[in-house]
Amino acid sequence: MNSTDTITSKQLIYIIIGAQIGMGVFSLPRLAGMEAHQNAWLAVFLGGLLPFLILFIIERLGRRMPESGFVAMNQLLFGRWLGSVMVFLFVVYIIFFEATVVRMFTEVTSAFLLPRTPLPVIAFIAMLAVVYAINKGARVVARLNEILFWIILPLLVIIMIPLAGADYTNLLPVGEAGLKSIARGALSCSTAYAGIEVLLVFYFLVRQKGEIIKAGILGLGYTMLVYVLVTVICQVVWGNNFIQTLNWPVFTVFKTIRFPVLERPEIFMLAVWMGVGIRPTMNMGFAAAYSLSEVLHVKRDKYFHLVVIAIALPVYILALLPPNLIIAFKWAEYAGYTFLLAGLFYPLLMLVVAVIRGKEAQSA
Amino acid sequence: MPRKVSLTVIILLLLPLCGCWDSRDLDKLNFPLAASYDLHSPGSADPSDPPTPPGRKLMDVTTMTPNLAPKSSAPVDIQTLSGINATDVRQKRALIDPDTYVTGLLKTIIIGEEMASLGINPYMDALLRGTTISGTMYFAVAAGRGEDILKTPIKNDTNIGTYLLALFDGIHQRTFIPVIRLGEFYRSQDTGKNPVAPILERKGDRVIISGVAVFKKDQMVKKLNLEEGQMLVLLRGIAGESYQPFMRNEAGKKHWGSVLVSNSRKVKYYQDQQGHNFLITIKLTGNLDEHSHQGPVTEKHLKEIEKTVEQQVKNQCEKFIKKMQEEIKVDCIDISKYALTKNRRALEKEIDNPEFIQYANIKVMVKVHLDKTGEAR
Repeated sequence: MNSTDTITSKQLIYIIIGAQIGMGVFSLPRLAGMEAHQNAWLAVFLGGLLPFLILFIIERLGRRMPESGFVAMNQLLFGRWLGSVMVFLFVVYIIFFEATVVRMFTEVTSAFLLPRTPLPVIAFIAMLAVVYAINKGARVVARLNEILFWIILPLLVIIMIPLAGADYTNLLPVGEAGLKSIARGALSCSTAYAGIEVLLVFYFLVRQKGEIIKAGILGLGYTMLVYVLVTVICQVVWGNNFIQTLNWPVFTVFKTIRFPVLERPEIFMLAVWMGVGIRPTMNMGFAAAYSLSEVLHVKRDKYFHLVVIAIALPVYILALLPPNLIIAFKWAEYAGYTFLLAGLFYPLLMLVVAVIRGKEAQSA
Repeated sequence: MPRKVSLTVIILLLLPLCGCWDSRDLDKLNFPLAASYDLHSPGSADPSDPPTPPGRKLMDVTTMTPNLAPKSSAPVDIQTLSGINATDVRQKRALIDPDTYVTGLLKTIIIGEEMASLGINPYMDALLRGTTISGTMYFAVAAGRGEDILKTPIKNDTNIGTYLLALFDGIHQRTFIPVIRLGEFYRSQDTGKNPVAPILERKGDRVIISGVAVFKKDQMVKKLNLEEGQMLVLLRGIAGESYQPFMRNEAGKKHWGSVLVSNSRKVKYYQDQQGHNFLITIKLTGNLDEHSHQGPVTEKHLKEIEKTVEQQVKNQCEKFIKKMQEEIKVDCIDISKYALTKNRRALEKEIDNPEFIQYANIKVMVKVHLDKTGEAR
């Protein structure tokens, strides 16, 4: 392992947050309210329990072979060839997922910031920044996540301003949507927590393995808090029926905020927008590039940038394939479902195989 | 990462800084401060006067833009153009105006009376869909045409746009009148809710707020006068502060005065065999600001004034509720939502029917608390 590829447990918190909170949060209140109606926040909360389960599965898995690595672990559990295929599939999943994130980022940037700039140009600039960051290694990616976390944090305060004139009756009655609707909503919302699966790669890069579970809980807890808060704010400001007519209800909330001196505070949001948009791409992209370079035995110092470009290129092309926003939303929905495969079933399968085959750290 | 590759990436990242597709010269932009939407009247100010397509009423969009040209004689540029919708008007603007139309600074939108009565959502979609349109712009209805409001040669302010902004800003701290912003107008059309908006009227060279428009979703159904508008604010629970005049009979003599009060509202809802029951409690707290009674105000006296104001406001509110139930038949006091909080699924379909509010049992209780008497005793 390269010295630039070790991170602290504290940095892991920021990486988890950065991998999860991306484009999904801006449409989450609509997605949650579609099934769970006024109980959308409840669906978001319940949906957030799934990543905790994933965290515990990955932690259990990693504990069995802490000195291994993601690729080595796969090859150990599934055999050299099948293990490599599994890693490839994981990389393909990340490429598809990243592509939907980049496309959504591009769409929002185009709609709110740069309406005349062609989508391919926006996506290209975003990918360049991502490629540059990933090339610098895990430590730089982690530090960027930490910096961006603090830059983005004030947005959470700004978005709370409309709470003063909000209508809390929009949330009532609690639980009336019905168990079935809330459960369906929770399942949809659980896909918004995609990103936790990067722990499969980052687990082995953390120096203090004993603190991973604590870091994971803190990271996931923060994400859950943000998601529930944002959903509640959108519900009390707009009401569920109106939310269903909006593409990005969270942005529309920003448009209702007004300060006496600063007329359009959403400019704050747009100023840090780049950070929100590219964080998940950067984190997941690193996980994919790192895994691919390991499986292909690429020399880290010499050719890692080629692997990064090899990941970035299909992401860029795929991101531009959906012909319109509606289809891009469909892709994002499919990406959410693939998260259930890659984020839940894949680590679970690995854990089951590890338990059955009784592989321990020493044998790794 | 090799240095050459790093350098290439950095140079590519710097490229967009030297100019991009979205850069525009500031002096080539047109920033309207206020706009109005009216149904098209043949022979309006639009020089092209387009023909009306079958099945759709044309709209007239009037915009008021401060004239930023250095040697311009007119301080503002007011244009009226007609089209099938707002964006159609925008493309026609390109034929007569060299500047690019930017909607980001639009502060007030005025809807003409005729259009408001017809239902405005079909004409307002561009305002909701436009990403640069602010949800904080003020929304008002014109008595007559909105175009006439914007064309008023206002004298006591820089232009009509800044005047309207100053008029609406902080008005809740000056009087009880409902002022609404675009975002609120949209969200007030949710199930069990209905928007209200101030009515602007041209009086000679002045523009004043002359009443309140009550909407059923996006359609204006009633115009209220200012007194009714005040009761609407209290019953609707729009927080504000205003003077409330009162009259007391004391030892056969009439005494006049007023209290400066801020308001709050609580609503209790329950359903029984009699139907849907609402108990609205209005709380007014503030000071005694004027009283023609010359003697010192004792605690007993203050309590009597409180009772007088309570009774007076209660009577006016009850009168308004009667009108709302019998004449307007729309929940303009925003209480139906409390019924939804108890049983949303069952009531959602019927709550916007006129019968719901018409046959609801609505009771009002007013509590007044005065804690200061000013400089004088």
